[in-house]
Amino acid sequence: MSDDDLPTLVLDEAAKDYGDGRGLYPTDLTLDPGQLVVLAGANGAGKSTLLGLCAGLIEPTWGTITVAGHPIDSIGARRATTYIPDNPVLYDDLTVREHLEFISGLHRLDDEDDDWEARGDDLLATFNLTERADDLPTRLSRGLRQKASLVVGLIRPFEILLIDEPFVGLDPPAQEALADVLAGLAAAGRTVLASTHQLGFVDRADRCVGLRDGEVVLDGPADVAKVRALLDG
Amino acid sequence: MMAAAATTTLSAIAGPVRVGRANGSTVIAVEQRAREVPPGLRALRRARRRNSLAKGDWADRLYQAYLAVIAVGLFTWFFASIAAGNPASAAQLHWIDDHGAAVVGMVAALAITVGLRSGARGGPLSLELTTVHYELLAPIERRVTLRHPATQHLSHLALFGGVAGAVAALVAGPSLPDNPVVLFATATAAGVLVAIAAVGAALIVSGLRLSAVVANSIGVALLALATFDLVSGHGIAPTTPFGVLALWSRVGSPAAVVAPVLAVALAVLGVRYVAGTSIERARERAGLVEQLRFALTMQDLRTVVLLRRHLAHEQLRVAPWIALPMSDRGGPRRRAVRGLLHFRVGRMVRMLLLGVSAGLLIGWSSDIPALLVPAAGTLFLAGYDAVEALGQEVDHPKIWSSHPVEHPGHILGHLLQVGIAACLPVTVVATIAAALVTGVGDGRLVPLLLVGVLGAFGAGTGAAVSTVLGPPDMVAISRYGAPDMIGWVLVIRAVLPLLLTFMALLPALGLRHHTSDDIVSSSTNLIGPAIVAVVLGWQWLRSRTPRTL
Repeated sequence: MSDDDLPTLVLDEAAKDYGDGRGLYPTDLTLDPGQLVVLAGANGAGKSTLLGLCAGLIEPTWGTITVAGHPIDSIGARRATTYIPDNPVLYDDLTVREHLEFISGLHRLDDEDDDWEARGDDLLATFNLTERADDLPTRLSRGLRQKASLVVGLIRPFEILLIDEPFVGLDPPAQEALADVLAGLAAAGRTVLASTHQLGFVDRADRCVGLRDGEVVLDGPADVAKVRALLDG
Repeated sequence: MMAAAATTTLSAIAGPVRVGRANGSTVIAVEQRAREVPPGLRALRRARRRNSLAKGDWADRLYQAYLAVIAVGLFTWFFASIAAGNPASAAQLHWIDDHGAAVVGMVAALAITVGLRSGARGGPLSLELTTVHYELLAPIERRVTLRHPATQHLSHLALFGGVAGAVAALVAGPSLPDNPVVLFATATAAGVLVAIAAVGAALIVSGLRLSAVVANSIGVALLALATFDLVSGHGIAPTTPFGVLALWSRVGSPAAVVAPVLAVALAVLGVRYVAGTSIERARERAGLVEQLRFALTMQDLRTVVLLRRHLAHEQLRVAPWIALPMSDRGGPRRRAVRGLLHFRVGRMVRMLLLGVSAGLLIGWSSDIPALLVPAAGTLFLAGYDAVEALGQEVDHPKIWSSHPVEHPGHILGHLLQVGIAACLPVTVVATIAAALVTGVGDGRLVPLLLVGVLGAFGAGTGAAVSTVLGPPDMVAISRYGAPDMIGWVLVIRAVLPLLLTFMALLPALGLRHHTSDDIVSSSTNLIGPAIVAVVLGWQWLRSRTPRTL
């Protein structure tokens, strides 16, 4: 089996029990390189828990998770995963451009054969953020902070992108641009797992994983009607 | 237009270097580099410092330092004034020689126990959410990422411990015939080392992810050994050497060497194991601590209390101790009692321990009347737990306003009755503890009983007033007062509820007299002001209406 045939993400009976009735039941899930997967479900279905588990931010109560062949929370898994939360997490005292510089340094992009500065400029242009790149996040609106969070999450190399409600707060042109970026990433061999209520985006996905009350109840080709039925309960 | 831009740049965005999958050479290379501090982290710290200075945060820091100096000054003055002019007698010096080190050792054991508990809850580090998201999720060894916050926390707490030790030396110094310079130096060093040991213990527990049961058991064992030393005069507890060091000028012994060795060992092991800190707990703490700081800035004590409970994972019992039926009779009072019946044992024990502490302070106030202030503060804290039902009503103004009553404030009055009843066991315990210190002869029973009853009213009413006051409404305050009065209004708002509890304890001042007549008359004369304070607070609560956005 070559490197590229290895699944990007494997959940083997992975479960989370918060101890108060909430969480995720034991879940098996395998995502392959180049898949654009929509994670659907009503509020409280367990989408954020699943994404948090895959990102290494939430520790599984049972089961195992591997990312690109590395056990979750190992340095290899962290290197292969980028996670963009629903609520932008940005340093108040760093400009957007300083965020890019910092993330690049943290991932040692200077050491690699990679022109991260040009890529950063492209990302800023894609999300129409170039003119605000030297502003502090505290001076940006919610939508602009969301765009900044996307740029910061995408600047670094990764094998899998985990993204929580990415369209919330974005204007329609930015939503369209983001959908193009996510599709482009999948086309380039990255795995994208996006949690969203945006039915318009479901059509562009290869696969849909549906959750209800912490259980996977749907896993198959993306189908707007099925997702709508899932969201309607 | 933007979509077109996206299409043209997609290849650039989607084409960063591949990360590499789990094959031997990649893993070795990645892990090797993960052990070094990446340039990004250094650059981040530099950039944040630069931006912080440019934003004018230095002025905030200077102001904070100015406030800290004033607070330490007031603290020192308060305790120095109660000790001034009282040179220790020969008997007292003898007692200090026999038990002083064990007393300081008990304080050290308490500090380390607090550290152990904090570690079991994911502390002591309170990282920023950004640190968790970017630095802890980066392909860098956590030891490298967390070393800086861990050493920073150690140094901050060491400074705090040093200041506490120095203040203690300044307070105790004039009463002792020892060289004040030596006492100052050794007490400061002991304070630093106790703080380092407490933080180190917390880091170890957090890094090794020891359960609360294990951490608490170690804490209880330390406290038991410290108590044994205090009672027996022996020096077997590992924390007693901190006391030997602090009182080096009186009880100089080679055992003092154990203190720095233990503290440094705990700190080194703590920094070594910090990499094991749970990222899930760190993320949870980051969110809560951010809110806690905001609530503190807003002087919102109720929110601070609620967030602290979340931080401590303090939960209610699902099933009440007694399934009291929710009949129509009793209404809010019954609901409040039902709420109290969901308290866990730990919370009730904490309330009673606060009662014991308050009682001891009340007892000692017969010699040092100023100790009534911390006694009032301690009862006030217990009151905060007792008026939980009232707090719930204030937290949910829509439910409060839905009660079919003409005056919603009267609901608070009913709930306060239950809160005061819940304070009674605390003040009874306080009375017993105070009686153990003062004895009950020569008419002392009168002020003690008055404190037992009025203290419950004062603690409940003071905590209820504080809960209902909530965060200050700056617009309203600035509307009614000159801008330069705002600071004073805020101070009065913060002090008033505590003052109310203090007023209820005034009859305890009778304990400072020596003859039966003086004790009884002095304490009964102070009943009036105590009752007036409680009644005013009660009436103010009954006049409140739900505050909605």
